[in-house]
Amino acid sequence: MFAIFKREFLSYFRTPVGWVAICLLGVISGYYFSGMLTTDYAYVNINMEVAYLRTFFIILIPIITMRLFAEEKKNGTDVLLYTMPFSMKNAVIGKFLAAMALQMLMLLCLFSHMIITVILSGYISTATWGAIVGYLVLAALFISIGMLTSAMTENQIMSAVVCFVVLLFLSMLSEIATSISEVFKAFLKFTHFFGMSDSSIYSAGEGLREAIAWFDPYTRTSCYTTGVFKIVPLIFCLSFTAMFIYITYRVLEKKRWSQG
Amino acid sequence: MIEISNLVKFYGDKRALGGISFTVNQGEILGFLGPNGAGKTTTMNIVTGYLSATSGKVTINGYDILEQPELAKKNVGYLPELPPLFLDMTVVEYLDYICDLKKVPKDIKKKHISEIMQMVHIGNVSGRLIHNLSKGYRQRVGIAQTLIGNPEVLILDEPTVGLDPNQVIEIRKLICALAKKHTIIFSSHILSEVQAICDRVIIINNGRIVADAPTIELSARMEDNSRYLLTVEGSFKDLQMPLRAISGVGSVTLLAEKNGLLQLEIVADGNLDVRKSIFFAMARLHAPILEFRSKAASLEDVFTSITTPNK
Amino acid sequence: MARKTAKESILQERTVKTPKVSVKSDERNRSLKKISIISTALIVAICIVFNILLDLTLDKKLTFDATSVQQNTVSILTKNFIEKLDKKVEIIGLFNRNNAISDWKDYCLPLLDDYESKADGMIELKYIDPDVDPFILKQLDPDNLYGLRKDTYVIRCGDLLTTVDPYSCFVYDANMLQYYNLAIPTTNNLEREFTGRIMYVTSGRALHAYYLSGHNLPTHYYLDQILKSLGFASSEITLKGENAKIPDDCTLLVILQPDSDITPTEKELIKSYLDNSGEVLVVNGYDTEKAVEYPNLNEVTNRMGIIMEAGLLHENDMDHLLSTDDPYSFIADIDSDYGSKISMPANYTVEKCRYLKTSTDKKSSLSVSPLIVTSGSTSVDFENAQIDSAVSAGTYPVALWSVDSDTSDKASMIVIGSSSFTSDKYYEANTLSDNNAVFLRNLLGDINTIHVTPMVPGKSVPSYILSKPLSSSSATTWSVIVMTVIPLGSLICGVYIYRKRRHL
Repeated sequence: MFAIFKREFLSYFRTPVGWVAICLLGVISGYYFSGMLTTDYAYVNINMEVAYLRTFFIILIPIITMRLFAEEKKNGTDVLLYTMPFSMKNAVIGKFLAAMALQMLMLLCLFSHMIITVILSGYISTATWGAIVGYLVLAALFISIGMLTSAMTENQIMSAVVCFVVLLFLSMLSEIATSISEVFKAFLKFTHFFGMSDSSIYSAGEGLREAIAWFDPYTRTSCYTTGVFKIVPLIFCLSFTAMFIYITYRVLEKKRWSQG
Repeated sequence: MIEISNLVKFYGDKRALGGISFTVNQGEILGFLGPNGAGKTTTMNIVTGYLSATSGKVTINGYDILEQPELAKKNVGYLPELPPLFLDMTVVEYLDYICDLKKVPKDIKKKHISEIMQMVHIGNVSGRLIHNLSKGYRQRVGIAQTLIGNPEVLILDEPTVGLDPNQVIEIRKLICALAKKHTIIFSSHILSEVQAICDRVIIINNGRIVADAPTIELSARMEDNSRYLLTVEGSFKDLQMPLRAISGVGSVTLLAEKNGLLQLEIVADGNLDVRKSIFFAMARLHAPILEFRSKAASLEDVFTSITTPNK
Repeated sequence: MARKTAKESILQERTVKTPKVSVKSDERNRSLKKISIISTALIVAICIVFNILLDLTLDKKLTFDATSVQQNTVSILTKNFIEKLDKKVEIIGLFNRNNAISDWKDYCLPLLDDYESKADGMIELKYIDPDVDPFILKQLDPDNLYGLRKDTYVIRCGDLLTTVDPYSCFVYDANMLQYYNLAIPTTNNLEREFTGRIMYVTSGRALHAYYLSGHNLPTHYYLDQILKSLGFASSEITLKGENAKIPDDCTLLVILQPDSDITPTEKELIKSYLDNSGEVLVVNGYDTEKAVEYPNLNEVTNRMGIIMEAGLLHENDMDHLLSTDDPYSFIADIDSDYGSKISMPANYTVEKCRYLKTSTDKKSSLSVSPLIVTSGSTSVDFENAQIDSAVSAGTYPVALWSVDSDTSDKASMIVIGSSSFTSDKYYEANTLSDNNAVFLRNLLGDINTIHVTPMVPGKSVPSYILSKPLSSSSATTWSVIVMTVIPLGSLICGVYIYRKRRHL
């Protein structure tokens, strides 16, 4: 596992990918931070920066994860993963940790901003640390999703695109839930389903919306930005991360029995 | 060492392997021969655990590749047709990574790598990026990779394909050298290569084993003195009948006629050596023999001769 | 022939022997497939179910307050109060708690969760969206007395009901609001508001303060806050009309800095209100530039044995002055008698205090006591320089309290000679944690027998504005550093390593 982690992590820096990712986050976060600095009232809230950076997951995560398995498949190096005497689990976890480590390294930008804020006599709330924890668990969830798409596709671009679409979908989940429930309500109204009353149609629609929005990882983890430190969203993200890692493992392990 | 029983593999509806069984013993060099698409790579992929078989069983050193994959794989070094190289790593970095994968203890890792690099003669490129290596060197790095962890079994899938003749010879030498310590399964579609290296040959076609024999016995078959190529001066008209008249000559076919030179293929009947008779016959007719050799059987010939009932 | 047989032995015709195989994979493959698919499905199902259960059971318990000022946790004062609640209180949020994020919800939801969890079942917290359940408003407020609306809270205990608009529970940065139209909270009064309201609904008594309007009533936001936190509802009344009367539910009549004397009608109404055991708060500072005479109002205060003179207290003790060049702004002290009865801060800032005195010929049933007094070396300045013979340097009251034991329920009156206890201007500068506010709150709580432990302080919301202002040039410099160092650094490293490795 450590071997895979080491290779994968170093490989980010042997190729320009890791550098570009750090550069990209540096530019994005730097843009936001300097935006806060240069306002007339110099309102510097790192929590808001963390919240802002979360919206760029849909771009940054695919860059980090697209190569994890797709590239190996393309180059034929995946043979090593299958024929070497270790379990595929280790490979999956090693790669996940490598991507996670890069993600943490990217947070250096944020830490540098925090240091500058302190130097400039700004205020850093303890809640910021909570926000960073929230940021990281969300990153973990998305990396596991990206890794799964990488394992399921044959080439990097395909993997990045699929991952991007999935993350975009997740980031709009609450809005999507609302529209689905609207459609659902309109459908119930139109068909007079079981002669439901308006109020029960409304609650049915709301129920559906809430059920879909329940999965929205962005809303779940938004509490950290405001200084509420909840354990349950952490468990939510981490358990789903574990789930996606497991599915990735199963997808790769499929070769052992599939007839494709 | 390796036991393969009744391996069947379907890709969708297409059958790639139709029930292959063989056993490789310790220290053996097994040539795995067959034309492209015969199922060599599929077999090797299954044996190494990269692919699953539709049915059948593979055990290596007594460990089932499906049930105890880690133990089974520990004894195998595999070089697929496309060597699994990370182009963005240097040779040493790459081998170091493989050592980690194969769980070579840290303290002997360095020594192990340098030994292997010496063995496959890649010491001079150790610090270079694999991306910048020539095909021959890449192939050697691929072989080096299989050697890490001293596996008892090496499985090499067409290691010489796409290399220039000098490189081919070097790789063959290398394999011969390795054969002293390892059990090797080695696939190729070039007959002479297999003949040169292997103790035993399995010929596979259309997903089925068509022959399984020691190389010596097969060689005898290959050098079957029944087909000759003959280049003489003269005309086909004049020479055809006398040649046919020689006892033991079955058929005479004109392959080419150019500038008064004839190229003939002569097939002998049975096991009679007809060479002397032909020589004297030609001498009598004042048709000088410019070239006379027994025709080496091509792989296809071997297949046809093996798969079609003997005349 | 021997050779031929040998050959035949080599060439085992395996093709013939190989049995025809079907596409069906063998047992092991199928079981692997089964294990793989079932375990994946199982893991997904477990993951979802586990999270749903966790969400339903432990979400609130596993919520912690990560803010530096414990923004989301009730203070010890509230905690002590709600732990001893003996009546069930319902707090109903009229919105969907999971919907739409707004600033105040970020503060409100976790804090109320904390109320609920610390009240040991005595506080029931519910969120009902009136859009989903249109009957809830009617059910809560059948007579539409409270004008309930979405995005507010209703607090109910028995028959008593009150509402809280969370948005108004914050003090917003005035500069930011004015110049940048940004609502950046500086003080979070949610807890004060909610605790006050819970105290009110559980007191079993509807408290209502009325401001006397019609005499250019100044704004009274902060006084409202103080009253609200005691559970007072507050509104304005005018007593000038023909049929004007003081409502029956009036607990406290507030006469705040009238800029003209009250009319005879008002005088009579207030006097009869006092006769019926009313309670009046008169705040009347002395403005030298608009020296108004208050014969009618004085008649009312005189009813309670207090006289407001047209004089200004002049502090001569340098130790009590706020600044040496203004003898009219000074520090006053709690009256030692009163201070020994109830816990009160010792010192108060007083600006432009009117000369108050106790009537010499007051009814015997009246007891007038000073609450806040000046230092011993204070004198009185009169506008017309006509020196009252009785006035010499000494101790003067800043606030007086009079109780009439003749009336059935003890009529009472508080007269404060300075606006620095009630004016918005004062509290904007000094906030509601100032001693003056504490005094007023404790006093009113004491008089109305509301058990108020020291007031729940507003929590200051940390300001993210740099405390040392940043010059625009250094802001630009920092921005350039931020924008270049890490991105360019990593880019250069990347290119360097890439170029170096490319030619290895």
